[in-house]
Amino acid sequence: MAQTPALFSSTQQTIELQDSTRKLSAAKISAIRIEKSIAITKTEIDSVLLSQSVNSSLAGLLSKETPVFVKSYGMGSMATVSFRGTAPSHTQVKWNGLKINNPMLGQVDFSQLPIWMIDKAKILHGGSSLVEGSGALGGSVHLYSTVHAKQQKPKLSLVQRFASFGNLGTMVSAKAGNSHIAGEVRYIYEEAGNNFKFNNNAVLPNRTDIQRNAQYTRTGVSANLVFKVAETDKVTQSFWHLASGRNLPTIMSYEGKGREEHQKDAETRYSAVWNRVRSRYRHSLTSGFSYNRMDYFLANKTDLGQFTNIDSRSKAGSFQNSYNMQYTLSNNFILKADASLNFYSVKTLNHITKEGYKATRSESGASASLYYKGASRLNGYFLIREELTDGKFTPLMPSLGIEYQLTKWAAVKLNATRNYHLPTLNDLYWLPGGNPNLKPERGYTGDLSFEIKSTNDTTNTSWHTVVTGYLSHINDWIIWRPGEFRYWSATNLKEVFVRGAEFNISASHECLGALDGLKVKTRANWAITHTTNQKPMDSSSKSANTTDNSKGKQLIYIPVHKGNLFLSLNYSGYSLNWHSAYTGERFTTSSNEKTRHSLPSYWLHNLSLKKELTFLTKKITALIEVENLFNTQYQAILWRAMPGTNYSFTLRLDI
Amino acid sequence: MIFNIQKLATFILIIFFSIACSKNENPIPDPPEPQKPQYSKGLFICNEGNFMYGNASLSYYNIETQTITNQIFFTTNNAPLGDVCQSMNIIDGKGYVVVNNSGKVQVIDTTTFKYCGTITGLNSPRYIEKIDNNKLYITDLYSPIISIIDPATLTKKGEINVGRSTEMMARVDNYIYTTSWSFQNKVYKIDTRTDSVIDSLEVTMQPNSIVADKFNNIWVLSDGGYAGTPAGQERATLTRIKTNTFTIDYIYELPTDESSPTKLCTDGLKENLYFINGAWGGSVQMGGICKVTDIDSTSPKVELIIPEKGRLFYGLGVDPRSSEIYISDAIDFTQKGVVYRYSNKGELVHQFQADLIPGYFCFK
Repeated sequence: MAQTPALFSSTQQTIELQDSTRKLSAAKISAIRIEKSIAITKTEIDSVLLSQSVNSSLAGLLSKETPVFVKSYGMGSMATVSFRGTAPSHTQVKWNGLKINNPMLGQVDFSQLPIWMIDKAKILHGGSSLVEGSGALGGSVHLYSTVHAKQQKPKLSLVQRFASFGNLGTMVSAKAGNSHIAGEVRYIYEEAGNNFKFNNNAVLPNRTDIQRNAQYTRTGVSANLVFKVAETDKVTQSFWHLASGRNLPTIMSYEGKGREEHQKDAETRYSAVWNRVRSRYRHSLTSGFSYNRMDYFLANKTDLGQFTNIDSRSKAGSFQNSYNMQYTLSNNFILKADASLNFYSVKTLNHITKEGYKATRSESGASASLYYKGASRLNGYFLIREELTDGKFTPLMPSLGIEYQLTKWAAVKLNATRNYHLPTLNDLYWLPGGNPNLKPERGYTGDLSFEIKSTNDTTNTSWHTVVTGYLSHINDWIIWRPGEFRYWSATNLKEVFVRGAEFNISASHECLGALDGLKVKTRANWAITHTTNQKPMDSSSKSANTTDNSKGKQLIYIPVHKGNLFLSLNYSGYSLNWHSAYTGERFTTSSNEKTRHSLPSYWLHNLSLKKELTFLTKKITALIEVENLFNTQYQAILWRAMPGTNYSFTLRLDI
Repeated sequence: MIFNIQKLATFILIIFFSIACSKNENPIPDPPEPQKPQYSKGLFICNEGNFMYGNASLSYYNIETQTITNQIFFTTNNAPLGDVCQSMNIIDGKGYVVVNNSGKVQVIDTTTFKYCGTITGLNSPRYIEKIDNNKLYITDLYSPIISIIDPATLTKKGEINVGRSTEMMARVDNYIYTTSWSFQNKVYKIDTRTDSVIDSLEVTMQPNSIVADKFNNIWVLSDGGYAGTPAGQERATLTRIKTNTFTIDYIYELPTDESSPTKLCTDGLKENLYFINGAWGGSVQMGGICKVTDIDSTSPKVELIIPEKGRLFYGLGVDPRSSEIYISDAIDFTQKGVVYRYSNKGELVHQFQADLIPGYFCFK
């Protein structure tokens, strides 16, 4: 189930092996390339881009670089990621093979994943995600923190960032090792005042306000240790700890007496992976745990002192184990199989109302897949996955991928998958309103993509285009319905039909002649997402509710259009980057009301200038960034203040 | 022509009655004519909006012409009402709109809908009531106090320490009765002359609404809480309290444990009671609008007059003049809700679309 970091860097590792032992034949290398690319729709964010973006959040980076939709409440605030109009809980996130979705909420807060602690990111879109595990009805995000065992000089990196609104960041990393053992430690500390000015048009009379109660601090430590036991075996251990405290600002129309509202999160994870690579076999065994604490506090300031309303403390733990194997049957076929056994435990209690619950879940699963690499043009895979959760089997989840090379530079990919997403523990057990009888959400996804790649070595130009069209049908979508006095409750109510297209084009060119050395890179993404509710409320009951206007309408907060543009110019140590992101109109009602209930589209532009200097053996990098260049007033979430133009200056030293 | 004269006559009649009523301190209109019911002039609908979305709004329904105008506050004043519009009360010709999660009360002119001011600095206001010309009370869910407001300056001039959150208020003579809902089971009696709590009484878990009837009794509707919580669940009840002795003298138990009744209200003569009997995510015995009659007898009669029938009744209001019943259905809570206007006999008169989560009705 869980892919390991070593598998991810398989090509590199295999080539190392080949160099050192000369035992592997060319066929085996191509075989390994098969599993990396066959008929899978994915986006990879490489380590270069990640290391260039240590300042921004992972949520921001994904929003800029990929077609996923990021819903963010502002700097340092909660940010969720969703694919193709599905819910954030339909995005499965893994770190070094461990599932890191909160078992209570089913989703991941991407503001708690600093890029500084991540080396690689991979995104699997739609049904392709089943290759790595179930539950990702939208897609999955795979993050890796790793270190390679190779002869290297000890390396120290220091980063200091100063930004508008009293925002600061300090990052340190140290790395050392040889071809047998290597280790790395990273540290990050961030604090933010977030006291930006904004035009408050949600109060009368309108006025300029300063955002209050939006401060946060975040401290993280991670460590990676790789140990090569033998030429064919290595053990990688990774540790992650991140603790954050953030105040939660009120919405713009608040004119009350004052509140203290904050959230504290702490996440500790550890994973150990043992990899063995033989001529035909590859094995990996992953074991790890995660422990998450989330405390939420709300108190109102009154004339009689502070009145605590909510003091909720939640703990979630998991213990995860997985085994992956791969066997090369022939030059054309590879057999893969995995098995996993995971345990989850949560405990949540509001110390004021004494509401809460305790729950556990055990989850086991296995999959088998066959990959085919044809001699000429046809490649493909077929996968079957089965899971057992708390003694209940989910129906079989199959996935089929076919890739056909039309010409040397053009290929088509087809993928069809059936997938299931289990209700979260809150959906099942939250008191009041949790529903232990919920069924898993089930999704059918199909996508077809067309890819063109071209590289011209004589003109130093390359370009890459992918167009993907997809269809997805999700049934028994779980929703919570709120009500005054009557409590919220979870039901398998919605039926959602998603169809859309993703366009991605990237090109690079290196100039010769007068502008010798000038590198130009550009990239554009566009996503069109129609994601509609197919079932009116209470259509199951005998007297259908004819007043419901949500059937056939776009789900709330999902823009139909979303796009981004990137242009980078590099010349003699200078790098100028321009990023532009477009978010289309979003509806905030299920009936898609236009008046007062939709958020207008907006463009945001960021500009940065970087200079790298080499001083003796040390590298110094200076970076100036301007975010929201044109001081655009916008709302990402209804009546939540967002900052105007803001600046940051970063200095990085690599020794 | 004939039609127009008729319309004009009705209009004059309505104006006449509303002037007659508004002069009255305690507006109990004359008994309605049997043929032609008189209506309130208009109806304000508080659309709660979604919690933390800041999309609450105010609608105005012209009862005579059967026309609905949504977003009257935003359209008139070019700013949103705020987050979670809980209730509204018309006091001395001004509309006091309680915006719960924005911690404020917006004050508007009830004819032009123009903004006249804001009572700020509250915590989680729920209901507002006039005590006399110099003071208003505001109850609060997230603070243990009732705020005392000076209507002339819209500023706070004091508070009553109740020790618990407070909800709706009902007045009999110089006393205000209010309940504490969230995990509580108390009714508090407040002397408005001294602004202090003078007594309290235990009722069934989670009393969510309270009204006074014409016999000087108060009625409390308790939803009973919910199973599985440490506070536990009790069968929901409707409780009658004698105000002269401040003692319970009658309890009606809802027919099943699933019942979670809300929104107790009276008609204009305060001689009948109405409430929503609902259950979340399912149907319940006697689900819909229940009417309570013979309310001064030893065994009041409770009957279902408008069945829920696959709808999700959310808000309930009874026109104090015509006794027509207005019910809202919030549908999925993320789209414009529907309001049903029923005659007092339970016949559908009109159905229209208000805004997001119509939860409270305020008659003009």
